[in-house]
Amino acid sequence: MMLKRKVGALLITAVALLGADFQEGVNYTKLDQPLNVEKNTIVKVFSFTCPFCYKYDKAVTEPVITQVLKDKPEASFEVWHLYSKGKYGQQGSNLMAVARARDIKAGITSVFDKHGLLKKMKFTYYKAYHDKNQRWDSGEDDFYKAGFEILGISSKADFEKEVASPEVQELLKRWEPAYPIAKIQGIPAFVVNGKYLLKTQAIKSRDYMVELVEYLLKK
Amino acid sequence: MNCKITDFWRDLKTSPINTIARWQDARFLWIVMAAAAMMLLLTAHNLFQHYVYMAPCEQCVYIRFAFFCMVFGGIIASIKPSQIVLKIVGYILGFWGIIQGIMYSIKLNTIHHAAHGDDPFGVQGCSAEPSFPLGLPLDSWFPDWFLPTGACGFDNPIPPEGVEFSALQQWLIDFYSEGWYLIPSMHLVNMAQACLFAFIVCFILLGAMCISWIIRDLFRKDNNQTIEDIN
Repeated sequence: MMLKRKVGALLITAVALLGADFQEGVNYTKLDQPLNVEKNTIVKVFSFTCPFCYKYDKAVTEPVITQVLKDKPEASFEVWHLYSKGKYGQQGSNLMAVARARDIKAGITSVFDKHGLLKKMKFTYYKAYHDKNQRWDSGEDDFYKAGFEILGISSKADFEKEVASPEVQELLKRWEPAYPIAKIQGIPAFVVNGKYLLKTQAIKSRDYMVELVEYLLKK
Repeated sequence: MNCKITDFWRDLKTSPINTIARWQDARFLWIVMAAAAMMLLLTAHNLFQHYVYMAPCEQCVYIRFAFFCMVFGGIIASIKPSQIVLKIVGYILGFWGIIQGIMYSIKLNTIHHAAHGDDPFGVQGCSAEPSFPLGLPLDSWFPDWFLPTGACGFDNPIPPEGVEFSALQQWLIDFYSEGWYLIPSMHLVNMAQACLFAFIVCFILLGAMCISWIIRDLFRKDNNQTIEDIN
């Protein structure tokens, strides 16, 4: 394993020195089953229970994607919550989807917008899970409390009605392939153009990630 | 008993290879290997996972699998260590477990550092689903032992809300509140490094046994002769 990593690191250095292309299998994986997304889309699969997703969201994803979108304004970025991970995976997905649907309705396109509900939702649950070690043992209602507060929802019935709305259902359906993607090498998972999955292990820095994403967008 | 130990020691000094080769013909060392691995497994599962609420992560359950290989190797060889087939099975399972264990421990250590440090790059973290060697679905057969329930690279105790703990339990939960370390106050030697150390010690001991056996039985023809003559 160490050897593989060393070879990988060497190859990456060689690639950087020569200014040559990134390589399939080393820097990224080509998906057998491409995602059904528009061209120039970057998808990130995450779960609020995943510590590396939290790490990436705190320090990596936003600066990297902001840079990519600056260089290539026609690109777009989506985040998909993974419903299958953790005890409240589905509930988490429902909260995130409602938040995102409301953002879209309010004209907030960027997931990094500081007024965005999705961003707020994500970080509230990241912090609860990882910083405060909350596990909501007493049940679903306890889990929903913080999310309902962000959404300004007072009853579960209201929430379920909103989840059932076509906009939210459409988002949840769109996020379904998060599961097969997550199974390939874990999360966070970044997919460019619906076809190319970044090899997280090969990512050495933010600059490297920007270059790799831009390279794959052009492919 | 005391006398016997001194005898052993003297034999080991005067003719180390033959002595170790003779020992691995007997049950004792094989039982030690199985018992040591089993003890570590029981400590991880019963003490840390259940009593102190430290949920295992993906690499942790793989490390358990590696220790189980050593347990089975030890048990199989100790059925009759002089029986060459059983002994070879014991060595293969033992070495395979140790080598897998070393690789898992190194990976866990890298993940641990990426998860705890400022640089999250260079690791893949954990998969969405565990995959064991040979495609064994151990996580669905024995979820209590092999289903990863902990966060990748973290082993902090996460006790359930509203449960009363005994004084000892509370003390252990507090003691390991920032995760398992040999010396928690200094964050010195994490779980991965401790496992790596255990596997390396096992590798050296099992290696000495195996090499002594090979040298005695394969390379010293005259020695072989005498054994066959006796038999």
